[in-house]
Parts: sequence; structure tokens; C-alpha cells
Amino acid sequence: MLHIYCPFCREERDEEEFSYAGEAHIQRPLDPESLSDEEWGDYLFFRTNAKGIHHEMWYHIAGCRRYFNVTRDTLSYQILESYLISQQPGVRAKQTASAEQGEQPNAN
Amino acid sequence: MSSSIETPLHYFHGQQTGSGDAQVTIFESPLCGHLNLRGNPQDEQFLEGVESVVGVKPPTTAGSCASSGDISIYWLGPDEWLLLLPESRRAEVESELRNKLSGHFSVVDVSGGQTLLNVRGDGVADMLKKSASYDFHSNNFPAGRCVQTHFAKATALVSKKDDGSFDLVIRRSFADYLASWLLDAGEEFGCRVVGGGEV
Ligand SMILES: [Zn+2]
Repeated sequence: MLHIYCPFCREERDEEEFSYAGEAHIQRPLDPESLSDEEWGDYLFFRTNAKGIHHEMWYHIAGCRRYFNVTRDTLSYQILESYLISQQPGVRAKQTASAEQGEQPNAN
Repeated sequence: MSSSIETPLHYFHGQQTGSGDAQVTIFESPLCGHLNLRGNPQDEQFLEGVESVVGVKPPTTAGSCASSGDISIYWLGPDEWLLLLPESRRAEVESELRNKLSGHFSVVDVSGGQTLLNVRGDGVADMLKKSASYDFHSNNFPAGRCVQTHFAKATALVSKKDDGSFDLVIRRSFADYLASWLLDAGEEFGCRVVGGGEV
């Protein structure tokens, strides 16, 4: 069971109070009509599927019913931070290239 | 011909589990007003507008509640609160809020969808432990705190009263299930449902 810090409730709660809401920081294109099918498909369906540091949205469905972002290590499941949707992550993967090769060390 | 409105747990009143005297009492409050309030906590006019009607500002500290006279106000989220008040004042307070508040806000009467329980007695902390993963120990959850959490796989708004008892605001549609659950969880202490919800 993960313990997730909700930045609105300001405390750690059990994972069962939350639901996962997908990868964070994906912006809806401002002008969808101007996109090619491929670009629209990328926006709708394709995700980074990171091995290591991953930024994702969680929904505190049984608590304050608000969305927020979490940085989680998908290898260790360790949650490194919670932050607001409007904010940028404080913890990032070190190098995209090595992360793709699966050589990304734990952020700690 | 007269009619009466029954509280959601009307047919549970008087039910008891366990032997001997009931150490845990589940009291279903008479029908009362539940108003869901939303607004901007950074807007001083909004906070003062609510205060002018309710007598207290909406608490902006996460997981806290406040009360003034016969009205209680619970933090549900950063811009959302629940007001509990006597049924006799429900319509008046709702329309007063609409008169006093302006801009981006909402007041929704959710009285029909919820019911208020007060659970008290020696085994009550243990009974809650069986029902939720949240830590209701007084070190973590003193009087004046409230929390929305998973409760027996349903959800509840739990708050701690000054007298050491707990209030539970639960959904009407889950009331039968949760009353059955609580009677079972409280059986080892002796547990009884009482109420006086007839209007
Ligand atoms: Zn929360």
C-alpha cells in the first residue's frame, strides 16, 4: 500500500483513498483542428511509459476530491514528491537517454 | 391524515448487538440541513459574507471544522465546505447565503442525500479502527478535526467532538449498509442504534 501525501489535505493518506489519473503535464492542443491524425493520436494515446522517474496525476477521490501531481519512481514505487497541477516537478529524471535504456539510477 | 418523514436509519432505531449494556451508542440525529458551500477562500468578501450569515468564517485549515451556535461548518476541500444546521433554519440560511454572497460561489442543499450519526462510548475508537485506515487516535485526530475518508469501503466525513465522541456524515444510500457494519463492528462492546428523527 502506497502512502500518498495530498497537498490539499496536507497529510499522508492510504492509496485506497486515491485513484490514479494518468501521466501529468500533458497539455491539450490549443487548436486540435490543425493537427494531423498522427499528432492527435500522439496526444490522445501515446505516453512516455517511463522506467524510473515518472510524473503522474492522482485524484483524492475519497478525500478532498482534488487532482494533484506526484513524482514516482516506477522501479521502486517510491513517491518522491506531491505538487499542485499548476506547478513544475522538483524532481526530474537525470537524462532522458539513459532513462530510455533502463540505466537510470534511483533518484536518491 | 398525517404524514411523517423518516430518517434513513429509522428502521434501525432500537437495534442492538452484543450482550449486556451497550457500551457503544450510535445516535442518528433528527433530520437536519446539509448545505454544500463552495467559494474562493482567498476572497475576503466571500469569507465575511459567510460569517455574516453563519456566525463564523469557513475554516481554511485543511481538515478542520468550526461552529457557531447551532451551525457547524466542515472543511471538505480547499474551496468546499459542508454546513450542518437545524432543519428549521435550512431554507432561511440557504437564501441568506445567496443574498449575501456574490461572484463565483455555490450553495447546494444536499440534505436529502446524507444523514448525521454520533457514535460514542468506551469501545468507539476500536470500532472506528475496524472501519477505516485513518488514524483516529486523539494524538492525530483531536477535537475540532474532520476528515473525509474510506469508511468500511464506503465513504464518510468523520469529525471529533469536544466531548470525545465522533460525528459521521454518511450517504443516505449507504446508511443501511453502514449501520449494519457498525452494529457488527461494535458487537463485542455491545452496540445500539438510537434515534429520534421523526418530524
Ligand atoms: Zn486531499
